[in-house]
Amino acid sequence: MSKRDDYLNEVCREVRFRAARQYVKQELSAHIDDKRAYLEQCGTADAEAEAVKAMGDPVQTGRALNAIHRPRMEWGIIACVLLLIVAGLAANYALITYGHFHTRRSLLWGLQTYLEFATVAVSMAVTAVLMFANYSWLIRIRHLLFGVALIYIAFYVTVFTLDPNGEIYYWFGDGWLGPTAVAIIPAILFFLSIAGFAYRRKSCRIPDLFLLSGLSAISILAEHLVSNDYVLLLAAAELVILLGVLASSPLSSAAKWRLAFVCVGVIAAPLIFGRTAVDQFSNPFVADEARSILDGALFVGPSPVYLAYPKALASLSEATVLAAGISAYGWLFGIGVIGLFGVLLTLMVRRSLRIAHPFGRFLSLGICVWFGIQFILLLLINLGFVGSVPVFLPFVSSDASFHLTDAALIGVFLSVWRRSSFMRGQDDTVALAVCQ
Amino acid sequence: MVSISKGLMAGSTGLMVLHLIAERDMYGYEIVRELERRSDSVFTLKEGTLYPVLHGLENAGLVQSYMQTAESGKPRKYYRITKKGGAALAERKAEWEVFSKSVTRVIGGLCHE
Repeated sequence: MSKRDDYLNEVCREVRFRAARQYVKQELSAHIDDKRAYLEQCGTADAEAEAVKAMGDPVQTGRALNAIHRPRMEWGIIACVLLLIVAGLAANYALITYGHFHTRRSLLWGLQTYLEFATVAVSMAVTAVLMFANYSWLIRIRHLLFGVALIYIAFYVTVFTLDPNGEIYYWFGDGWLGPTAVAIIPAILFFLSIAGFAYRRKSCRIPDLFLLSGLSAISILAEHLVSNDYVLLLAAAELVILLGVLASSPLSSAAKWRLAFVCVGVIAAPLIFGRTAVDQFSNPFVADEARSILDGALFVGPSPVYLAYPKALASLSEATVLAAGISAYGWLFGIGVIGLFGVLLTLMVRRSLRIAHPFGRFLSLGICVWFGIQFILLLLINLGFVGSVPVFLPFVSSDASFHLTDAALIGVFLSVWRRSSFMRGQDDTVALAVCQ
Repeated sequence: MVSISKGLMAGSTGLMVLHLIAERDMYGYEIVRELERRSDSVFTLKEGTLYPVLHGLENAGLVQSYMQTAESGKPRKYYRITKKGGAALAERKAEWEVFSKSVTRVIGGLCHE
């Protein structure tokens, strides 16, 4: 082993965060190269050894770097998510006991509770695995993610077009081919894939931007085939990515504005073509029900409506779980959940703005928009301002597909933040080497 | 040649590095060379110790790094100052001026007001 390798290994041994080591190694090695070239020019014998010697004590340097490159843990976000999950379990218990599930699956309510706990446990494991994984691998598999999402949708559409009576649907059950899973899974795959394409674009020239906008438009159109509900979230997250690419481009301000309008147009066209979930808000039935249930809610404790007429909650579902929670436990519960979301989103946006690596920033801002829109939409639904759509409250609603996909997104967000102290540059050669 | 103690260097390296990067974007080895040249080799860092300083400045948002391909074809990590870094530099320079004048007054050297 050469002296350079010995030096670099000794430095890296002191850096406990393994993921940071290759970045440190790359920069120090480049420095030794520069020094060696200079010493060779000066005619120094054994320039490599002298260059390494000039670097100084590897242990001291390694320890100083270790103090800087610690994995970043966002305990505030983790605590908010855990508290929201607990609030979700409590609110779902209210629903299971008296509401939606009581009428629909009265014999299975106990099983439903166990499944709820099992889903939460699996979701937390998914978050932990993704948080510790290096998110830059997503760049490498961007084509695969896009392709799998398209195939998933194509398979679903083909099967259910050939199966108008729903026999195949009932054979598959309400699992990974159920309507909610088919809506949410490809939407997330498309979002992750578009972030990868945005990072790996060759330049900020107009053809590259049009290609990116075109892929976004295809993903929105494809998503329309299975659901109108998640199209809005997908379009918003992709628009943030496109505008992020534009904002960081070296184009003139006038050109950026022109292209921003084009991007908005490219995203809006398939939305208008497919008609979005917005048109579903016209159904006032669920909104009226939610309002009438909330009208009797106390500040603390179960409302008279909840105690006397539990079946009034039967009209509520996973989407209106917050209204059920407020009716069962009081407005303090609702204020707590809304406050937790406020804190969670504030923390996420603040962290996202501090992320320097473009791919990480695309992902984290997209995830903020994703959760932010879902939260605002669901808040309006739960407070009875708009009708219900099958888009659920992140971490609170009790749908397995949503728990798992929310957990995956928050895991990716935490992975981005964890590595943000060293994954920074646009042309980061280590990240690119990983992605070749 | 007078060698500067570690303690004195530690307090001022960040300021000097920030000042050099404020003048133009630089990479690590270039910063070490420039420090040596401008101080007539009084400030001779153990070169590896520059990187904790640079990474610390970057973590604090005072400088920003980016990769650029050198003439040799190799990628190099350059550092540029940020708006926050510019403000911090002005603040640190003012602090340093007060500090150095006060030290000079105390130990009885020349002090040009």
